[in-house]
Amino acid sequence: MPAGNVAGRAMTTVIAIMTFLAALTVGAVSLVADTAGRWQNDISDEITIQVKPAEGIDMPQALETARQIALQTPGVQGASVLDEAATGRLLEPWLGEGVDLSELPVPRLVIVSIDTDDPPNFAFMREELKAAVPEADLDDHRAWVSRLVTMARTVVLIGVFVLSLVIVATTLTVIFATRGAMSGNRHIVEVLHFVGARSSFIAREFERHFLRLGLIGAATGGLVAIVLFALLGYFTAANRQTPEADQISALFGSFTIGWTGYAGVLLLIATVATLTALTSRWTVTRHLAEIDMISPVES
Amino acid sequence: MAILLALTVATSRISEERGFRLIRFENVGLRYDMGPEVLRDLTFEIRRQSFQFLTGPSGAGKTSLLRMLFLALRPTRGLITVLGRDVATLSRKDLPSIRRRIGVVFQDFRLLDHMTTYENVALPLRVRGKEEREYRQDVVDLIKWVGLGERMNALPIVLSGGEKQRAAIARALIDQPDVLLADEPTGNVDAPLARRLLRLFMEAQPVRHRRGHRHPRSRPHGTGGCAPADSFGRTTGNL
Repeated sequence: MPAGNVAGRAMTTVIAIMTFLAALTVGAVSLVADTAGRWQNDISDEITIQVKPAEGIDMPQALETARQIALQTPGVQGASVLDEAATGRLLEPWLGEGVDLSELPVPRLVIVSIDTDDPPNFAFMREELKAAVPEADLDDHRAWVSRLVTMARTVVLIGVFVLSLVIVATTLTVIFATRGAMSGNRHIVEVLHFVGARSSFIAREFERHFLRLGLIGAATGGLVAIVLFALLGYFTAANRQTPEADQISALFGSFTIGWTGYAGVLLLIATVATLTALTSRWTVTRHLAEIDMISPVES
Repeated sequence: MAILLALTVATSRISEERGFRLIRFENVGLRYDMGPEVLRDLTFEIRRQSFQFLTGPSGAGKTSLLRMLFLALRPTRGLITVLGRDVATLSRKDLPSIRRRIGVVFQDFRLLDHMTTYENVALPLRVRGKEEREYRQDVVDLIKWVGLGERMNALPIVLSGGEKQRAAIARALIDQPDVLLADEPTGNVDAPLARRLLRLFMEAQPVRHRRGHRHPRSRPHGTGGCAPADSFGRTTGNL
């Protein structure tokens, strides 16, 4: 087989681009699915007590009382007050840096970790809190979780649908690109055929050649996507302390696609390369059938 | 005037009982789709050690006939026997083994552009799964015999028309075929080169027939004693 011609290079490029796009989709779907699962877990094992500012309230005292009530409730594993620095960082995108929270009527939070297997009695806990700290509100996130899980599942479903479309588009593109590259090699098929090569020999030679081209293209596209995900993960991890990174982390965690994402990309590379090889085999076999002892009526 | 040259070379593989006939056409007809018959009632035979020319105007059906001879086209009627096999009964998997006994020189040479002269000539042996050490010397000798010793490692793109033609002839001859078919072998070359190519075909036959000499490297050009060329006028039917 010729080492490389324009059609072969174009096919390799098209395969690389389509594999890159498909790998991005695989990574994105994997990221969203992982994140959705994490949202659900994180939120369902955590509740918050919100203490609203009110006239004459001793906020540190109120927060400590709420924390103690939470800790005494069966089913609670831990409780901590979100300190001023953390609260300030949470509000920094809206209020800017260096805000003195004591001068502003800003609600404060107590983060309560619960045992998901044996959760506390939320109604009882709510009543206890109201009695001790009237400004305290218990938010068990159940409405949130329900909405978030529904949204996450919808996003994953949409992602899978988009991934299916991208895979179908990739498959068709790979098939047509391979057939296009093959059409430039018809004369080679014919020469091999008429010098007595068996069909299986010709098909094997083309299959091997196109498997190599497909692997080069798919591996290039897939590896670029993997490097891109690795870089995104690195930069989000490196900038974790900034407010913007906090927002991204809140949404996507550490922005790593996990082993399922990487495995998906590797599977994609193998699939695209195999598809390229099989398409070349089908095309050669069909072309040989066309030129092999054809009846002039059939032709 | 176009010339189709069918050169046959006999070997011991063809049984004497078949009356030395390598190829036999009997009342063969060929039509494309629902059109008129382009070949009608062809009856002829090609015997071993014979040298045949086929001539006819453009569009007469010479290439169609050649395609039937190298099993690329089935006739619409009649009987064709090639190397003792009725082509109507040949299955697809039988074709490569029969084709390996037929050397073809195409009108447009059909050399592979990414291969050197040596690689093109060696191609039929390579596709048969032979190791290079088994055939290297034979290929080199044959290339020298057709006068391309200096162009051994040249790609077809830098070869002249005559050099391509000779490389194509060498490729057709490399595995000692029983039959050599050439489609307009002198169609694209000037008169002196055409004469030289025809001499090459003439030399090929008797030398290759001698046992123990795979390639005619010991013979100087132009000294071959060829079998008398039988006119294709012996054929009955219409082209």
